[in-house]
Amino acid sequence: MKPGRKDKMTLYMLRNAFSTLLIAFVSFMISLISYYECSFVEALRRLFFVNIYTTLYFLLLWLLNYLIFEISKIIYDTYEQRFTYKSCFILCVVAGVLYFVEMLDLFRWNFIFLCLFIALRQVKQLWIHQKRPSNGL
Amino acid sequence: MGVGDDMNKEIKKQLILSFVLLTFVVMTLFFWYQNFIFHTYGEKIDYQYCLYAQNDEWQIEGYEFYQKGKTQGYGHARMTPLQPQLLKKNDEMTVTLHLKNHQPLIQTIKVQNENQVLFLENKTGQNIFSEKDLQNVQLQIEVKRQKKSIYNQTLSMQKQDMITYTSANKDYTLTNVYVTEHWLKTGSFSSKDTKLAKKYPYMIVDYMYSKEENQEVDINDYERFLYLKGKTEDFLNDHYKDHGFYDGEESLLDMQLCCVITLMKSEDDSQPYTFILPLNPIQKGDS
Repeated sequence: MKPGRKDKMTLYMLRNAFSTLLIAFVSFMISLISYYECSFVEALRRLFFVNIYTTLYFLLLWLLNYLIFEISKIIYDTYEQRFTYKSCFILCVVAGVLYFVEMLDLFRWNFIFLCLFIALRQVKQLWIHQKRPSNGL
Repeated sequence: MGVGDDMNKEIKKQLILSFVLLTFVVMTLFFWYQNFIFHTYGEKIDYQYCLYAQNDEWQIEGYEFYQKGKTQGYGHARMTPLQPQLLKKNDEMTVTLHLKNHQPLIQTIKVQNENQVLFLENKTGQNIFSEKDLQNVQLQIEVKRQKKSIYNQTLSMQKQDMITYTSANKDYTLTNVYVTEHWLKTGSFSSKDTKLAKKYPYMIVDYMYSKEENQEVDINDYERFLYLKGKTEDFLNDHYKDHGFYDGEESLLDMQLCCVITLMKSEDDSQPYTFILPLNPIQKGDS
């Protein structure tokens, strides 16, 4: 592997980690703000400073998001010839359906954002693929 | 073996590893779910206020306004006459609460003893007032003796600084304990154990304070301030609330607070299960 490609890979991994962290964070914020009808700062305090169980669950949810995203990447890169814009559309429909599924709003928002993020990454890859072969990042 | 086969093997390895990790994470999230819900989405109260007023004749403490879900409540105040001969037996007292843009709320009390310390009843209902109505609260006190008005004054009520305390260990939580300098409203007790009320039908909750500033909770330093005894089910359903007034010179907010929970299998259980929940301040209660 070329050194330049390795640097880029670290950068992409960091980007993915940050994006999935953001998804978990935003979902937690929406859930806590709507449940407690409180301010952003109060929700932030409830997430990080009230008890360790909430904070740990947040970190676990982030890890789950990261793993799902990485798996989606591996699957996409393996079968990239079969993926079209249609699969992105299906992911968006799944996100739409999730909105109406009865579950804890934290998970609902988290998986909606995750589906949209995966779809967005696929759109990006398909767009790049039209110009040159996938770099698998 | 070609380069393509190596790549496929590498991808397979990555995929298997990711799925194994994913299974671990999903299992952990699943088994932690109840614990997470229990500690994160606790009981909430829309708002809680505690008001205070004083003039030369009266001291009114702990006049509370709260909204819990759709239920609103007000009252529970302690009214202490500061002048002798202010109240006599059979006097009739009318306490009228004037809220901004709102109909007055009237409570009537019959005086039983001379210079009696009075406690206003707690009134509950729906849509009695809105939070905005609590900006400028006036309390009118009228005392009638043999149908003649002998005292009629209006006091302006001040919101008191309030801090919400909470406590939790792995299995039990005590939330929404509201504390001002000289007043405390008991919190909501909950347990992760759904069969707690069957195992221990009775329980005692002692609210204690300590003027010592120790890191570790030493129960010998604490003094009992409020004592509640009742059915565990009532505590779990939040049907058991009480208010305590602290008459010392210090502020409760400067002290260390804790709760001693005693779970009993019968009303006179000689070997109850007792544990301490130290109370920690979390927020200003009036937000």
